[in-house]
Amino acid sequence: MADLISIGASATQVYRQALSTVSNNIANLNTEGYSRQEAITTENTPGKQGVHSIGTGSRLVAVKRNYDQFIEGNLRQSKSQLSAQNPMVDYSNRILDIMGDESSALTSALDRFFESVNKLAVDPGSRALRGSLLSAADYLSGRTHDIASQLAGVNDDSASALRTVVEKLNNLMGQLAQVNLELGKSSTLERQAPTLLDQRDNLLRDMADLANLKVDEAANGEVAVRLAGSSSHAWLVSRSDVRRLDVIMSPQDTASHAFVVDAYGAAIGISPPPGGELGGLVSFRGEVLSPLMQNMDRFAETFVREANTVHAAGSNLENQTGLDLFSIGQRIEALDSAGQLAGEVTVQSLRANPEPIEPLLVTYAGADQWLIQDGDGKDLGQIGGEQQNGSYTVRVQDLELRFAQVPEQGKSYLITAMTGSAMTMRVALDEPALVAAGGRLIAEAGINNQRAYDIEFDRLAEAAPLTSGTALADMPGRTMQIAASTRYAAPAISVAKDLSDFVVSFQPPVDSEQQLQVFTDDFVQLAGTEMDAVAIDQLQKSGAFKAASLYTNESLNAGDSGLFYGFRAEQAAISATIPRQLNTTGGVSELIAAGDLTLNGTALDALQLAADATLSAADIATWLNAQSEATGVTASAENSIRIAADSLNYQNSLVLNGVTVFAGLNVGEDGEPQQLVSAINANIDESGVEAWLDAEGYLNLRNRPGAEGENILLGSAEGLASLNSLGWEETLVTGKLRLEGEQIAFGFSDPASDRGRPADLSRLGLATGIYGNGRRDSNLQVYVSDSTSTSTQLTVSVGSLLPPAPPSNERSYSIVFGDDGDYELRDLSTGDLLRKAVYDHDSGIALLDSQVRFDLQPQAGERFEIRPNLDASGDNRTLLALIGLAEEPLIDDMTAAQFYVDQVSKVGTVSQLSQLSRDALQVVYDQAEESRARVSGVSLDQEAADLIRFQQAYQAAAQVIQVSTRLFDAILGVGR
Amino acid sequence: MKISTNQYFNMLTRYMGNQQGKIAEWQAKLATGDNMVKPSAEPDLAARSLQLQSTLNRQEVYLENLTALDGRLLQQETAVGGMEKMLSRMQELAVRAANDTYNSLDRQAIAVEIRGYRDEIMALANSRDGNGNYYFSGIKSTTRPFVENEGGAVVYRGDQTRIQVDVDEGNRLTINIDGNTLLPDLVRASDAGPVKVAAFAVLDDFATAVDTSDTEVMQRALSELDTVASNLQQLLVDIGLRRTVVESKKEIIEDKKLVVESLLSSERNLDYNTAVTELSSEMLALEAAQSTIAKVTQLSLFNYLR
Repeated sequence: MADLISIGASATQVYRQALSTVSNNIANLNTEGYSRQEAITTENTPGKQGVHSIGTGSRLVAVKRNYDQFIEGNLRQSKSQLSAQNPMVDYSNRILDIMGDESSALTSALDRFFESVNKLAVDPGSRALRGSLLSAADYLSGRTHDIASQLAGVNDDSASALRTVVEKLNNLMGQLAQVNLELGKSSTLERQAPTLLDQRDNLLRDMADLANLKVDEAANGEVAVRLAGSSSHAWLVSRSDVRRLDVIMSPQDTASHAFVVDAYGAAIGISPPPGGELGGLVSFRGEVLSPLMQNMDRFAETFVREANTVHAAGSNLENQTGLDLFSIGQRIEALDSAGQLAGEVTVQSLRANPEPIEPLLVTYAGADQWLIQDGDGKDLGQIGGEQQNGSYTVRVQDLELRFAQVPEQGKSYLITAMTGSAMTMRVALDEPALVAAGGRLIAEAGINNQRAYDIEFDRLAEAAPLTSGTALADMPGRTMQIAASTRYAAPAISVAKDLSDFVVSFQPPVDSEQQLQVFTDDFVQLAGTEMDAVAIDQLQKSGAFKAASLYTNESLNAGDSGLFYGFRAEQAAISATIPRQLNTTGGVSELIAAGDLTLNGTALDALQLAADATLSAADIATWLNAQSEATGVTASAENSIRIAADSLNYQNSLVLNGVTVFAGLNVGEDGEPQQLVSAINANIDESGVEAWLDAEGYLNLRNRPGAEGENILLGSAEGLASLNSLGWEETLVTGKLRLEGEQIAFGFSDPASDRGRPADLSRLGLATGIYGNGRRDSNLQVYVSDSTSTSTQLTVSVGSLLPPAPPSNERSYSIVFGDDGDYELRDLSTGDLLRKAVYDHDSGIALLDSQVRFDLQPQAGERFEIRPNLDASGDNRTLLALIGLAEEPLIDDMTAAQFYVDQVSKVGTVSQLSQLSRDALQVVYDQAEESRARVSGVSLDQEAADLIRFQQAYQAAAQVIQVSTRLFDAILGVGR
Repeated sequence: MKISTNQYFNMLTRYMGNQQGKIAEWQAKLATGDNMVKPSAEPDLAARSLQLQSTLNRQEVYLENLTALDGRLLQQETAVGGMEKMLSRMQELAVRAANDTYNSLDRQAIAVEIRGYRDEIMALANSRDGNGNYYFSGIKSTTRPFVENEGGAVVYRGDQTRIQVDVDEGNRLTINIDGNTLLPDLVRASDAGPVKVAAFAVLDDFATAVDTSDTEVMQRALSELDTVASNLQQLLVDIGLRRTVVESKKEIIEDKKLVVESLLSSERNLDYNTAVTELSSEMLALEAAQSTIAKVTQLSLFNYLR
């Protein structure tokens, strides 16, 4: 009986607990993440009665939580994948609505712009239509700016959404760590409270929504979490420790995302695709938004550049060449010390056409003072700020920084240029008269031309590169030596036309016929001697000249080509040592004929040398000074020698200019420099040479005053071959020439007829060079010629490369066709021959900055004048070219409109594909949820059935107790 | 297969939500009559639609150009026609004046008339458009083309450039007649060989000849006037031809426009029949879902527990 009661009691206990579990299930029907609990009973240890075992009832062994780890994992995975699609769909749709709507799309703005150009082309004289064109252009740049701004807005929104998601994730991870702490108190899974485990799974599921996770479950239910695909030491939650996840984005590169674990400790970067909403945002920003923003910038930059180029080739109502129609600059922003966009300050450029800027660091030092540093930390000074119209402004270089309120002291900002140029697109013209509708040039047929021609002007086609010598454009600001051969196989030097100044010089031997020959790359010779047929042939073969050009030397040495051939200096010049020139003819020889050389325009008299004499610097100085009033140049000569003290040999004698000044010491006697000095100076009147010792101990010799520049003959008393005290054999030392004058320019009076040649200048110790100043119309090719084939040294020094000249509205040309299918192109105002070449009908005639084409080949004797197109308000040629832009493949082989539609189409495709993926993944997720619900979900019907079952079992167990009570009563009743 | 109560209810609400979403879509389409209510609703249609709209806009532009062009050609035709009429009157006068029955006084009167016609011709040659720009000055449209210098001779001060406009892709038409084409110089034989004479000089010489009864010059003038007149007549034919070209181009573009419009409408315009049918079927599905949910959710074992 005792056992009966206890069995009954245990049974009621068990069933009461089972009923509680069932009611708990019912009560938690709507609890999120609740896993159905089941009461698990087990049989009590049976008792032994003799040989039999008798059961002793049952007890509750556990409340089991219905849970399948594998299904849970599956569910989390599919949730991550599904969530990843949402940002793609939502943001792509947002962009599609911005860019794809007809009224706001750029295609309609482009259409409107080209429509206004078309209207003006039919009636170019209408001011009202010009104004409409500017309005339409303004509309186009406004739309571009708007779309770019909205994309930037999407960029900001998606970035802050990304940061919010990361924060949420960190939050959940913190909570999970707490749950792990509680779970850690028990060592087996069965002992864990089901509520705790449910909480854990809830958190994991929420986290899976945000990112794809790798979850490792320990034996007691604790979990370790990291991002799927990352390495195990980049864990985020491990037992009750949690590490922060951070995302680092760059304001300048939308596609750059770096995830870092534990940024403040030992930061570990991870680079798996994060999955979940995080992954969706990263994919959207990197794969859709970033290329789109870059493409919009490219679109705007290319369109502005092409439109401006076409416009610049035209002429407006003020007879100017077209100014920029659109302007586009860089977006300049302020970044705070964390490298993020500082929203509290706006930056504006004060210039209409902003140019690229170098980064600047501005720091507020308090009291309205700002410290400015450049990108390398170098101090650039201080600037004050001021309150203006309710906001606080600081002006730095060409920028204005505007703050809503005065910032904290010590706060610094980096001002730098960002991508996003599309946002700066503007119309640069505001005057209708400045719209360049007409062409720059106009052609007039000569009166005697036989027929009328259709003449068109084009942009200059890219010329094929020509063979060249050492290109001077590559060496700005330097002086170099270049070896050059005197054959015409290739030019020695090529000078770019935009080089601001240059000198090419050489110093040939005094008897040589070397000349510098300078040509334009149209084979027009500017300086040197006339070429014969053989030379012309060789030069043409050298490939340095345009193929169709013919040799002309009309402007040879004309002097107005901007080049100077000769020797030129300002203020003062010193020659090299005068070369040895000894007159052995027996009579007076004429070194330089009268009039061959000119100095500052004055023809110089003949330079003569007496018989048996050697030319000295003093001779030259005297010769030049004879004409110094006319030339404005005074000359002086000097001759000095400097010898180190330890080269002196006191045993040898010294003869100066035939006078023995020092007899030489005996062998064994020591001398010192001062002895030589005294000895020389003692004979100063006879020899004409004085000496002294300088501070470094060198022995110096020079002419005595009054005899400056005369030659000094250094000899020895023992004869020609012996060494003298200076350690030399007999030597005649010539001096140097010093010239002074405001302008010193030695020229040749007519090199073409051999009146003046570089060798003449060499006689004076001066180098001959080609000097160029300012921009030229064409590149130059410089050759060196000689009657024999040798090589020589050229010295070149070069100025800076100027930016290419814009098309000019001032040139006029004449073109006259000759008898042999050739033509002459001349500058109409100066008459200079610019080119004589064979006419190629397909390529037309290239002018200096455009190209002219005829519909038929003109005949011999026909003449055309090409002039600037002035006062031509009815001309629409530039407008037609602008219209042509609509159909021209400007970017990636697509027209502007096609490119834009392509971008819209790409975003549309992404949206569509993401929606399809999302729909498919939704199905997978639904199935995973159903699997889970099947295991862990509460079904009211099932619980109702369990309720009935346990209730009946309880009643039966209660009945057992009652039976055992009766039995007991019966036993008790036996005794009475 | 067991299904949890929550799961069950969630599924039902989701189905209803989806259904209502679809109905809302169809409603929006019916309300706007447009297949593409907003670009994100029909992503593949968005790009195509932009392209077609752009092509359509371009045809509109060409049509506008052609109409404006025709207007200018008409004006030019009127001016040239007027000049031609004046010239033919002068030719009549030339014949009359050559008649020997006229005396010098009569001839002087005729000369006055001739000078009048000549002035008319010059006025017509200096015609201007609505903006005050000259028609026959070439591209120097603010410069008056025909001006008398101090010697009384008429000089052409415009230029010879032809102005063109786009009327179709790659197709350009010349829209102006410059002064040299309008009244070209004539070649007159003289003792010093052939010499170039301006058209107005011819008219002035004729007037002078009539005034002074110079019969030789009057004879010469007859043939010279013929040349000028036939030039103008040729120009009229030219302009007429150009206008015909413009007209036929307009027709071609109208056709093209029609094709593009119908393409666009087939993509964008809602087919009301299909739309209404679809809406009805979705509404039916929603109704069915709602009534079955109501019925099925009432079934529960708990109902049967006393």
